[in-house]
Order: sequence, then C-alpha cells, then structure tokens
Amino acid sequence: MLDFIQSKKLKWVFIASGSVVVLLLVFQLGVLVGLKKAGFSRNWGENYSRNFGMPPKNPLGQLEGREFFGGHGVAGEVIKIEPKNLVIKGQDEIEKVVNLLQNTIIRRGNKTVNLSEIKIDDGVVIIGSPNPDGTVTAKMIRIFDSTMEPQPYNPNPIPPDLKK
Amino acid sequence: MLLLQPHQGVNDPSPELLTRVMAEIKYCQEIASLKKKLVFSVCLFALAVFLHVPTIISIRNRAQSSGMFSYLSLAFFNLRSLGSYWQDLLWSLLESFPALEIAGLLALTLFAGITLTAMVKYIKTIRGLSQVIHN
Repeated sequence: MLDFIQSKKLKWVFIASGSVVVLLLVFQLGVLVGLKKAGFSRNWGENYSRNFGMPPKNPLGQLEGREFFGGHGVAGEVIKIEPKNLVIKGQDEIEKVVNLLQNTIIRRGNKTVNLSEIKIDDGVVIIGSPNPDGTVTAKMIRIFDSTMEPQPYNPNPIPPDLKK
Repeated sequence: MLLLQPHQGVNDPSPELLTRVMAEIKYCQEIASLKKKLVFSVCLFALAVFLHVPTIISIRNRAQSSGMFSYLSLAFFNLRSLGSYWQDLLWSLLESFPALEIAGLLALTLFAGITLTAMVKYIKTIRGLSQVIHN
C-alpha cells in the first residue's frame, strides 16, 4: 500500500487529474467569455438601427464566432459626441454607442477632465459594462493622443513658460 | 595442383572479418538513413521557426484590432484610477485575448522543440555510429 502511495504511477495520476481540472476551468472560462461576447454582439446587432439610425453594415447573420466582440471595453476613435453618449469607431471598424454617467471618470494623462475635453477623432479607451440595448455604459474613459499611444507618467509637469 | 589447394596459413583473413564488414555496412546504411531523417527534421525545424513570424504578426494584429494593447496600456498607466472597475478591465482583457493565435504560436513552438530534440538525437546517434566505425 505504502509502495503504491509513493509510486510514480500515483504521481502521474495526480498530475493528470490536476491538468484535467485546469483544462475544464479554462474551458468553462472560454464558454463564459464566449457567451458574454455573443450576447453583446446579438444585442448590438438587434439594436443597430435604433442606435445608429441605419441598417447594419455587418448584420448579425453575417457575424461568426471570431467576429463577436465584447462589451466591457471599447478602444477606438470618437466619431460623434452627444451630451449623454459618445459614438466610438473601434480598431476593429465597429461602431459602439457609449453611454456617459455623472460619475464616469474621464482622464487625459494624469488629469481628470470634463466631457468637453473629448474631441472628434480623439483616441479613447473605455472600460464599462454592456447593456441589453447593445450600448456600453462607460465607467472610465482614457483619452489618448491621435496615435493611441498613452502619455508617459509625469508627476511634476513643468509649464512651458517655466522651461526657460 | 597448387591452385586447387585451400588457402591455409598466416595470410588468411580473420574469421571475424566478415562479421565486422557486415556490421560496418549496416552502420553505414543506418548513418545514411539517419542523415536523411536529420535533413528532414532540419527542414521541419526551419519551417516551424519561419512560421513563427506570421503567427507573431497575426497575434499583434489581432491584439491591436480587439483593443487588447489599449486595455493593457490603460491597466499599466491608470491602474489607480480604475479602482473598483478592475473586474470590467479583466473582462475586457479576456474578451480581447487572441487565444487562437497564441495557441497556434505555442503549438508551433512545441513542434519546433520536438524537431530540435529529434535533431539532437540523430546527431548524437550519427556521431556514435561514426566512432564505432572508425574504431
């Protein structure tokens, strides 16, 4: 019995069981992510006409597994600004409506700014949550420059007139 | 009369000669076969290494188009501001993760590793057989 407990066979049984558990967990995570993406993509497709006022360029019927997109984040350029929402064209060429809340944090570099700081063609990265109507509620918006590269952190910015 | 007599004496070949010659021929054949396998595995290894380039490019493109790099840079530069929204950030990272491309890259790396191991094994065997022949 002791020999069996100390045997290599049992060690391999444990390794195999552990690997199966990890595989199943990863599989379950993949299913969960896929469900979220598919759900948001379906809502986005169903509400496209209502959100954008035109028939979809890429209706849901043509969307396939790998083309589904998530609703927890949006990264792209601002193409329309309204008082309570933004329309963002993503790097994947998909437009998404982003709803703004009173407590939505808008950051440019290290500063918190107002909605008025956001301009058309600005690059933004938005973290939020998907809505059943195919829009995204923004919780945090980060404005990047046009090249989409983040500004490096500068704890003590020197005003240009003091540089001399 | 002399020609018909069987060869006997000091000039006769050793009785092990035939065995040794046959063994050497077998080793040479084995080396030739191993060399072919080595060339084949070198080709496969080179192909696997070469295929890494388009795979890495596709990972980069996929991560860029899905916004993964943007979310990562957000996590890097504005982690404090994200505060309680880390779960949404995690979801956005998971949703934009280029899993299939990374799986492809790992499969290619595994394949390259296997062919490299086979190459080393063939080279070692060829060296060993060559030493046996020379001794």
